[in-house]
Amino acid sequence: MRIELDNVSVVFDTGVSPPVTALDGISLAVAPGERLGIAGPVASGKSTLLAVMAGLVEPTGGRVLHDGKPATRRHPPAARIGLALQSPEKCLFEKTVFDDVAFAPRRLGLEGERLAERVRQALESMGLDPEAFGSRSPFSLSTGEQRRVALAGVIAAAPRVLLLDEPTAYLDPPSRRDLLQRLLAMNEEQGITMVMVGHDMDEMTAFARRLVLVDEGRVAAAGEAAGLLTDVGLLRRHRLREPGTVSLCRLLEAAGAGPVPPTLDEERLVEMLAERAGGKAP
Amino acid sequence: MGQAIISLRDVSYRYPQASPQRRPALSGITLDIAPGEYVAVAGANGSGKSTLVRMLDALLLPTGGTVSIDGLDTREAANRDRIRETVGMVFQDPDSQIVGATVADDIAFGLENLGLPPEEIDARLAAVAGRFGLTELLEREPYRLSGGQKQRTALAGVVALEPRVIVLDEPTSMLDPRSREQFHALAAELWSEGTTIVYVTHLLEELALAGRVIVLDAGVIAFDGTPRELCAAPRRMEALGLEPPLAVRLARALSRRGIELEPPLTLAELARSVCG
Ligand SMILES: Nc1ncnc2c1ncn2[C@@H]1O[C@H](COP(=O)(O)OP(=O)(O)OP(=O)(O)O)[C@@H](O)[C@H]1O
Ligand SMILES: Nc1ncnc2c1ncn2[C@@H]1O[C@H](COP(=O)(O)OP(=O)(O)OP(=O)(O)O)[C@@H](O)[C@H]1O
Ligand SMILES: [Mg+2]
Ligand SMILES: [Mg+2]
Repeated sequence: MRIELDNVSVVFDTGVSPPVTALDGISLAVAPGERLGIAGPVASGKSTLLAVMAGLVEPTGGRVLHDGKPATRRHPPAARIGLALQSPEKCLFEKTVFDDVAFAPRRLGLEGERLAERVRQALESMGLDPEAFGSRSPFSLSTGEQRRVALAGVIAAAPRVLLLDEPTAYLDPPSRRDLLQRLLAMNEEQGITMVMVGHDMDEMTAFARRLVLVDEGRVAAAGEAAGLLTDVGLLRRHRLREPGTVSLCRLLEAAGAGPVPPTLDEERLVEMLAERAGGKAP
Repeated sequence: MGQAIISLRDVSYRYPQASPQRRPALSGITLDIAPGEYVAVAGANGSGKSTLVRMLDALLLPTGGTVSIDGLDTREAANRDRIRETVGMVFQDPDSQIVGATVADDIAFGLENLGLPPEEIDARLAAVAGRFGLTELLEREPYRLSGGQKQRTALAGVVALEPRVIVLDEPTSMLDPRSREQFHALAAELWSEGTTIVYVTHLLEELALAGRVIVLDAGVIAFDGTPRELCAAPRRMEALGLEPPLAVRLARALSRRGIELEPPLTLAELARSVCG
């Protein structure tokens, strides 16, 4: 599915204080099968942007198109777009983990063994043992466990587009790595379109092909991820930090190594370090 | 070590709703934290970190063993008020922390509970609002804020209380990198002023800030030492649901090529030893 935002604005009426402009004239297209990263400071409009893309929040100005047709709340493309909200664990509500993950697939008509299989796969894909977790209450889990159940619920609907709002927060590092790998596989093998909001540029290095930096409700920069992720000045202007590999290149320069062009490639960095340290390759 | 400000003796905890077949959320935890220590708590999802820190302000009471804060047993109802004045707690989920109808009310709420005079409340409110970038948001309703704005509100509310012990459960999970660094600087400042800090995190950059790291594994203490000692055992880290930092991974790759460096904890250390 192709998602297009044409000069989209969102102004929230806060009731108590002046209205807040969350999005201020954003134009952006998400192509089918792409992997788009979105980053930017706190309160820059990232979550609002995802909600607008999903058709969950109607823009106060501009248009949102799903495959060329206006996205409206009356025709939610629920089956096709999966939205993992910023704190998806808040949306858990069923008595058991199984029923929570089964919620969307059930609405799509799955039942019996096919439903059970879908739920099992989704739980396993989030590193949760279906036997151990399926019958537990989602309210008796740790926050990271809840986060995984919530993400399993989004994946279980088998959407064609996945919109993920800081999905790796609260996950332990191995689970983060597994989730990112899982997302890459879903994108590459099944062609699922992915948009991920995140603050961690190491994760963006692994995930994003294209990156959009949002600041004060506007697109501050957009382009091929590798270009933006090595632009230290740009990232820092928007309260972000360069990936670790790029950071090391700068630190090497500062330590007197001479010019070190920034790289996102750990292998290349190891080569370079090995040369500098005067060792010989085996 | 002088008298511990936090002391746990053979503490176990089993959630009342948990089925009896499941292991307890915590077992056999014995731990002393001295006044002024900066302790990071790490471990895989479900390892017991939040359960452990909820014991420290008597929100949960041990089902076995004893938890004492500044010598006060958390099971004694008469001690609770003093314990909660000593320990300020920032929850993992800011929504479960925020009670006020506006950001200002929310921050003022805790200060009013301390019985501070109005001028002092106003002064502290203005100071933390400035520190956490909330000055423009004081009249807003917390539930309509962005994730990071909510987290800043929750942090400001506890920092304003100036507790002797500050317990932080993944306090920067929704902050942008710059805000996260600013919070690290604030934590370092509080530490240098003598505040005891207990900081739950999955982030290696945050573990490295602490003087001491405790790693939980399935409800028991699996590691208690310095961040450097932890990173010296990268395989152990992986088994415990942690990931060695980039500097450690790169040094390991170099070591496989026969290049042995002083084991680095940070990228700056790695850069210096490569160029040195
Ligand atoms: N329901 C709402 N009512 C009023 N204002 C809102 C509402 N939701 C968001 N806002 C405001 O809109 C702006 C953008 O918020 P949004 O949640 O999109 O930011 P974000 O980039 O996702 O931030 P974060 O990184 O903190 O999650 C913020 O100033 C926020 O306070
Ligand atoms: N309310 C509850 N009822 C029953 N069991 C619970 C409850 N809350 C947590 N648990 C269980 O207790 C164990 C420890 O949970 P805890 O929340 O302390 O983990 P944690 O280390 O903070 O994890 P996370 O990194 O996901 O936040 C887990 O096995 C969890 O499933
Ligand atoms: Mg957000
Ligand atoms: Mg927790």
